[in-house]
Amino acid sequence: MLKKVYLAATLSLLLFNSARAIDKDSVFKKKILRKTEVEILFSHYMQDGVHSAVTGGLGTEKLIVFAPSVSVTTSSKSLSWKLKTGTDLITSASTDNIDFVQSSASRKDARTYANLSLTKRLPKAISIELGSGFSVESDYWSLPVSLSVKGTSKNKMRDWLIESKCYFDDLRWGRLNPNYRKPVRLIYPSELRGSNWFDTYKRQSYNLKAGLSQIIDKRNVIGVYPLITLQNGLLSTPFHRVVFNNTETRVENLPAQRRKLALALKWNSFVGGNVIVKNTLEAFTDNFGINALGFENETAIKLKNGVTLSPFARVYTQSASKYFAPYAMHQPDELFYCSDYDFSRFYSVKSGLEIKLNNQYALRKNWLFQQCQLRYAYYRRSDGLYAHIISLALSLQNNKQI
Amino acid sequence: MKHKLPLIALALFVSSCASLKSYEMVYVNDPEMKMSGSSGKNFELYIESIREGASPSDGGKSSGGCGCN
Repeated sequence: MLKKVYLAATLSLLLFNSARAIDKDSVFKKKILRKTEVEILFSHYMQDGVHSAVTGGLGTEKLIVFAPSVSVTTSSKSLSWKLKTGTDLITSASTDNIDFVQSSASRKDARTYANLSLTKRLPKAISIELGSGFSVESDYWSLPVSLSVKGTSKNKMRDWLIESKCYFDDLRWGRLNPNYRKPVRLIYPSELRGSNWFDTYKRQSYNLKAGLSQIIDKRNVIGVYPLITLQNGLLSTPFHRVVFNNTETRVENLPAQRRKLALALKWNSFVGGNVIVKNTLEAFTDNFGINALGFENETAIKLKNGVTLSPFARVYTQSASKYFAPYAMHQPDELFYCSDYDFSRFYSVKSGLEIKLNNQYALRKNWLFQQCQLRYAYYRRSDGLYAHIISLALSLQNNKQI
Repeated sequence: MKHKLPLIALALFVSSCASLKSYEMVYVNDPEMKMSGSSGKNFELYIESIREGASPSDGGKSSGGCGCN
């Protein structure tokens, strides 16, 4: 009889404890985790060449850009916010002759931008994102507006995306000049300021992008990304000179509408124990006569201690725009003309290395160090332009129960 | 009909992919298998969209600033 009492008491105690444990678990599950991710990016760009469009396709293209930026993403159960802001500090040799006030002192410029986006996660693995912000430099103001919808199939084998991004630009100079602090007028080359070359100072760009990525098997994923772009308004850069074959100089003049069609095909493959091969093929065509093709390969090699090495290489070729001709090669009777070598026929190669450190370790007050990335690329164009591009990114994460 | 053939081929290819179990997705769910690039790569795409006539479909920008230097 005593044994039965002990048995009943033990069972009751076990049941009581397990009920308490379940209760504890259910309370724990109700807590919402708020995750905050911070990424600090330092980018550095150094370029030189001999075909500056500011001086009609002949002259130094020396340019140095230091571009620090920070992005903060806060996510809870169904909502996330992302704020990205930064400043590009630009030192340029070719634009030192376009300032309205001092004709040789605008060698330094700054582009400041901020973008805020809100993502709402809906049922059935669909999310919708809305974003806007601004970008300002001495000679323009840009207002971006974006809307995108993303989804994942029920079996998680397929991701899709539809994204619309619009830019509304005002290309008047003067906002960052201490004498004006407001948009004043378009900035023309110093010796061509006697004429009003353009009727409009606005530019609108509408981009519609789609994306589909599909898991093929245990080790392969492919993606297809078409993009359609329509641009209207002032597509010429108002301080680009064009020198004609009769020595006359005018401001670059391009049509007021540009239609672009681009396609990217991607194939990522986990080939061996620790090697991932990523291939991208890009194709492009537009109504300015530019047809382009590019191929990039990046091979990620995972080493010990969370270190990943990713050597990469890219080749790219494009045909010239029908409106492009080199210095002093345009005919005076042409309607549209430019000597910007970005629109010329060339091929380019880029190669470099990315080193990634993925070790997580705890910092203060729920903060974790997530990742450090260092990336270097050397870029060379067949017209002689070359550039060094360096980026350092640091990622931190904070997990908080609310 | 000629223009629809690649779309039909793509649809057939995509629909023919067998589903994987969760435990079989260890390789395809690796962070390195993501289609989007790192922040450093995105900065390079931004530079390429300025220095080249084409606007890359998988990143960079398509206007919003002069990119004129």
